[in-house]
Amino acid sequence: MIYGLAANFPQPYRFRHLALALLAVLLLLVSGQRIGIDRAISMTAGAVLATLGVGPPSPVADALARGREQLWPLQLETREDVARLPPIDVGALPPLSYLETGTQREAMLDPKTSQPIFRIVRTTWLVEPFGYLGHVALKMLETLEIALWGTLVAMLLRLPLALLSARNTMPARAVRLAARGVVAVLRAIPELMSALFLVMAFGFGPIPGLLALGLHAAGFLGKFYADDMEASDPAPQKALIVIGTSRLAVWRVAILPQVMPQFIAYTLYILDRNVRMATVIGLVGAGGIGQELRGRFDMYQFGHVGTILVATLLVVVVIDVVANRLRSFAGL
Amino acid sequence: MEIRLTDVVLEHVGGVRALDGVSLEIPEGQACVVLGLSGAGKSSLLRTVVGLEVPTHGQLALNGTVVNRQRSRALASRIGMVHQDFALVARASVAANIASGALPAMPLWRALLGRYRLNDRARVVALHRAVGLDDALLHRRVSSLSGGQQQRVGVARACMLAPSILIADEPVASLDPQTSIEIMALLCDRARAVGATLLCSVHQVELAKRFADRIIGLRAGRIVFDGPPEQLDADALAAIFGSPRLSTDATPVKAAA
Repeated sequence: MIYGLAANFPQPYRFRHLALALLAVLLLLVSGQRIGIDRAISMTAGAVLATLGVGPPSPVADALARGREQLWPLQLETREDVARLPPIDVGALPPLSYLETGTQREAMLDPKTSQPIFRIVRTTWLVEPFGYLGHVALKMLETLEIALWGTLVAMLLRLPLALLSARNTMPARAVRLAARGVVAVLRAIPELMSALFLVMAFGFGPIPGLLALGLHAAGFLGKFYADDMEASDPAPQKALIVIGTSRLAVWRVAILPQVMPQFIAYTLYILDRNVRMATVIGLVGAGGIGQELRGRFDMYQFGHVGTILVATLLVVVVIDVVANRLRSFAGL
Repeated sequence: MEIRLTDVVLEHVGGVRALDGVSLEIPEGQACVVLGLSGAGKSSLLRTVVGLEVPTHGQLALNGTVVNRQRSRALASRIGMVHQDFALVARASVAANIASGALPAMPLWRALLGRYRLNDRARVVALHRAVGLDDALLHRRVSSLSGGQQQRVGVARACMLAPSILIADEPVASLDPQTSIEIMALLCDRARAVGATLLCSVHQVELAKRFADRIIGLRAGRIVFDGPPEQLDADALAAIFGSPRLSTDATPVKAAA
C-alpha cells in the first residue's frame, strides 16, 4: 500500500518535458535560421577580432569606427551666414556670440558653359559658441513637457476608464466589457505606431507625441487601476452599500484609500516611462529631441547627433535617479 | 422600527436551506439576541433583515412595509449594521470611517470631496467619545487600532444616522471575553440611546443572557427557542446546541481550569 503510493509520487521530469525541450530547440533552430542568428554571431565575432587586431578587417567594426569619428567632436556652436539673416546690430549681438569673417569656396555652374566653376567668397558668420547646446536643451525641455502632458492626459482618461471597467464600481456587465475593450485596445497600440498616424492628423510637433503617450498610458493605467480596485477588501464596501450609499461615494470612501499607494506607484512609473518614450517618439515626427535627432541624422550632421545622444543619455539617467528618489520618498 | 418575518425561507445554491420557515416579530426598541451553533442560520437571518440576502419564500416587513426584493434608500439608511470583521477601511482614519456612516444622507459632491457638514463632524466627535474612544485616536488610521477599538469605531459608524434598527452580526466573535462584554454593553447602550430595535447574534450564552431582552435560539434554520433570558434553561440550551456539552462551544470550559 505504502509502496504503491510512493511509486505514484509525481516525478519532476518526465518524457513529455524532454519532448517539450526538444520541440523548443527545434523551433529556435528554425527561427534562428530565419532571423540570421548565425550571421549575427559571425559578424559580431569578426568585429571583435578586427578591433583586437587579430582578424581580417570587418565592415561592422569599420562602420562603428566611422560613426565614432563623426560623432566627435560634439557640435556645440551655431554658425550662420550674416548675409542670410535679417540685418543685425553689430553693437548688440546675442550674449557670448561674435562675428567671424573668413573665406570659403563656393561651387556654381557657369551660366554659359554649364560647367561647374568655383569661386572664393568672403563671408561673415554670426557664431554662437553654445547656440546648438541651447537649442538641444530647449528640445530636451520640450521632450520632458511631452512626457509630463502625456502623463496628465493618461491620468485624465484612466479614471473614467477604471471606474467603468471595475466590477465593484460598475455593476452593468455590458458597460464593463466595453470599457475593458477600449482599455485593451489603447494598451495594445504601441506609442510609435499611434504617433505615426497622429502626426498625419495633427502635423509635426509635440501634440501627436503627447497624445500618443497619453493614450497608451491611459490603457495601461486603466487596466491596472481597475484590477486593483477589484482586488480591494470588499467588506467595508458592502457595509456602506447595504445602508444605501451610492456607488461613487463607496468608491471614494471605501475603495480609493485602499488603492491609493498603488495608484501613485503606477503613475510614477508611467512618468518615468514616458520620459524615455518621449525621446524616441520624435523619430516619427512627434516633437521633442527625437525629431531633432531624426533631422540631423538624415542630413548626415553627426556632430549634432553626438550632442543629442549625450544630452539624452544624461537626462534619462538623471530622471531615473530622481524618480527612484521620489519613489523611496513616497515609501513605495 | 418593528421587524416582522413570516415563514421566511432562504435557500442557497444547491438547495441548502439556511432559513427554513422562520416567523418572527420583534417590536420596536427590543434588544433581541440570536443564539445558535455555527451554520444554524444566525447570519442568514440578520443578512436577510439588512437586505444582503433576498428570501426565497415568505415575507419580510419593516414597520409594516414588505421589503422582500427592493427597499428604498431611505429605508436602507435607517438600518445600522455592525460586522464581525469590523468591515472598516483600514487605511482611512477613525473619523473618516465613522463619518462614512452618514454617506447615504449626503449629497454626492460632499462625499467625493470629503467635505462633511459641520453638524456631521460634530456628530462624529460626539459618537467617537460616546463609544469610549480617546480623542487622540480621532485622526489615527484604523489599522493602528486594537480589535476592540476597531469594533467601537464600527458601532459609532452604525449609529451615525441614528438608525431605527441596529443589526450586529457576531460583533464580538473575534474579541476577548472582557472586551466582548464592553462592546455588547456599548451596543445595547447605543441602541437604547436612539430607541433602535437591536438584533444581535452571538454564540456565547452568558452574553446573551446578560444583555438580551429576548433570546431567539436557532438550529438548522428553524427557531427552537424564543423567550426572555430567564426561560433559557438546560432544556432550551439542549434544543439550541444539541447535547449540553456542546453548549460550552466557544465559552471558557470551566473544567479545564
